Amino acid sequence: MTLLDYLHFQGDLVARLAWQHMLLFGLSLAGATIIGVGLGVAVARVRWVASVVVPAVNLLQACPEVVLLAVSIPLLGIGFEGALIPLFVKGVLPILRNTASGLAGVDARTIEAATGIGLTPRQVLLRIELPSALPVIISGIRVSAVMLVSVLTLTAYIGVESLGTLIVQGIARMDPAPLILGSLLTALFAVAVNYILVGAERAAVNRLS
Amino acid sequence: MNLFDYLTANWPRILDLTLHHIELSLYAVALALAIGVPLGILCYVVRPIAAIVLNAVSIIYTIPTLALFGLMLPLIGIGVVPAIVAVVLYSLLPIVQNTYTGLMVVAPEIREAAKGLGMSPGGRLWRVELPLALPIVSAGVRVAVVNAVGMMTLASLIGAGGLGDLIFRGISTLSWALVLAGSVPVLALAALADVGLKALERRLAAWQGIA
Amino acid sequence: MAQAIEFRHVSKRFDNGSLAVDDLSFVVEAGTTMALVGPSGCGKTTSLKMINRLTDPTSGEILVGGRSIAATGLLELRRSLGYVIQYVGLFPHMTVAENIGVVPHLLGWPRSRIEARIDELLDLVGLAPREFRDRRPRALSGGQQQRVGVARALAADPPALLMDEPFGALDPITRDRLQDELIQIQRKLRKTVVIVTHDMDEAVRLADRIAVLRAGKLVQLGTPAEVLASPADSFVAELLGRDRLLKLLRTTPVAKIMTSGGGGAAGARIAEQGSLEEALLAMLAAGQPDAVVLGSDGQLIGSVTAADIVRSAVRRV
Repeated sequence: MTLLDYLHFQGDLVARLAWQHMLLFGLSLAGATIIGVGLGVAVARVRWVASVVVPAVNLLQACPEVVLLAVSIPLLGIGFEGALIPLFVKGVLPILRNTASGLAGVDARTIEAATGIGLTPRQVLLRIELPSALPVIISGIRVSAVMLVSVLTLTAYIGVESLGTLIVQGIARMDPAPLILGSLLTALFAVAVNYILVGAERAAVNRLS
Repeated sequence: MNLFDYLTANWPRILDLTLHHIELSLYAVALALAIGVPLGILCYVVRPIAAIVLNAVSIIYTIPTLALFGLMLPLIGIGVVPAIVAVVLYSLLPIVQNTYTGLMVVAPEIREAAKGLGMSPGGRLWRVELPLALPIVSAGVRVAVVNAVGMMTLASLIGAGGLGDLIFRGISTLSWALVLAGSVPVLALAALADVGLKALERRLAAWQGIA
Repeated sequence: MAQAIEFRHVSKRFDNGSLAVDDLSFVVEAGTTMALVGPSGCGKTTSLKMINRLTDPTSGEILVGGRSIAATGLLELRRSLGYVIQYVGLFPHMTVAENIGVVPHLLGWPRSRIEARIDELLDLVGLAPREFRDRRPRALSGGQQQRVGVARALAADPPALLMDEPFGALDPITRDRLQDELIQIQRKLRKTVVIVTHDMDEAVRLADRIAVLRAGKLVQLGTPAEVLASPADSFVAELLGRDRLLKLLRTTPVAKIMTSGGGGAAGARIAEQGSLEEALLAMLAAGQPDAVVLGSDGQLIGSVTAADIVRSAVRRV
């Protein structure tokens, strides 16, 4: 059946899956950001740890989503739990890495000046270091966001309901309608998310300079 | 059955799938190079189109890999061809971007000297700018190859074969051995490509008299 | 054969409206060195770059060897002009020999001729061919790199050499040495040289004539002695520096003002082609207000006093 027919008949399903996808995305990104920034700060605090962690993260990052997903199942089962490892690796790690390197890149003299004025380490972190590292951190969030959309699409294979489900169904039944719909919608979603965050990145850079 | 048993029983098939996987990945990267490097050079020579082209390949790169494969099916069909096309598209960004950047970062005094000596634009490109851009281009190739190896795992979904066959079968039958039998070669290939190409980069930088 | 370079009412207006060069006209005689000097933004580099058409004039004509450069093919023109720039721009992926051989290669010279020429040039710029031929630029010091740069520029035996602050990035000692060598090379080859520099000492030392530019206009043109003795206005005087008159002393050989004949037994000695500045320095070193002048065979041919020198400067002004 044609695309329009499909939308007409299955519009509810598509809407539900789209909403589910966005919801999962939002939750994952929020979680990944909190964990990623938190861990990133912890890692950055001990400078030498950063120089070990960052290359290790880069290595893990390069691992294909499918492999992460496949490896995750025997450990965590199927369904959303099974998606946790790929979501962590592809979602948290870019943010962690960028937070760590962003903080490492803050000019030591600026920090020295701030401490000299009498700011506590926590204040220095919140008022000086994080704002300085913000563009890099947002860049990491952007990488993470795009990857998350992709991982969530793939999780359809382990039973997570998202727009990926349409693609999986489309392939399984050789039905172009859900296939194209699912692919287009996820593609548009990813591109939109990317552009919004590029804007955020640019805004952060402008605020700094 | 456990992994060891599976391996001993099926290693010819695994080897076969691995070779097929490598073949597909290499085809894709070779094609991406054939298209991407000239595109990158074009962006460098015709500066105004750089933004458009880089944006375009960037957008393609953002599309979730499954969606990209999915879009190939109605457009091209199943099998090896759509798989390669999808991976080629995905590999364009690192190659085009790095070719462009590699050319852009050639030191201005080198460019000026080449011009002043009387080299033609083509001559400059071929004898000076491209050779000097090579390490950066090679870094892009490295990223593309590692990506391609990983992405080809999805190729099995559209009937192109490759190590994805083992992985997806493993997922649907919840067989740990199958999953590993498919994943480990993929990871090994990616790691080997990464290390090997890094060494090439270093060699190129040394030849350039930079490293 | 060296060729003359002529600027005829050349102007350059950039796209943003600024006038970099304003109705510039002058001639660089064949086989002579012309220094273009002036503060930053005066148009000296732009003028130089118009000669090999790295940028084109908006009006006016430039001629090399009597022929308009607009009529010559662009690449042909550039291959026939040597070009040396401040940061050298040696190609890092090529050896010294390959770098020098670039233009001959472009011109299609036979391999043997190129190889011979490379050795010849390395000798000319003071780098032992056997030692330096196969080195990479990164293995060379700044001074050595610039020597290769000069060799590369001279490779195809161009009639003219264009230099843009060639020694600006070097330390003073190396700069001094390379200036000396350039003078030697010029004595041997007698090329037409146009050199852009903001260093007045360099201009006075290297040039047969100096063109002072300001805001794109030619303010004064003359030999170093002429310009130093009679700066056209206070701007030029300031550009020449406070020690302008001392620099002037540098440009005059002692033989010009000496009193001929045997002199006293003064402690200071100066060769006849030495400058007045050197004579003064010799007197200072000896603590004597006069010096004897020696001919090329070492004989006493005259004498000169500090008072003579000071008076000569005053007279000139």
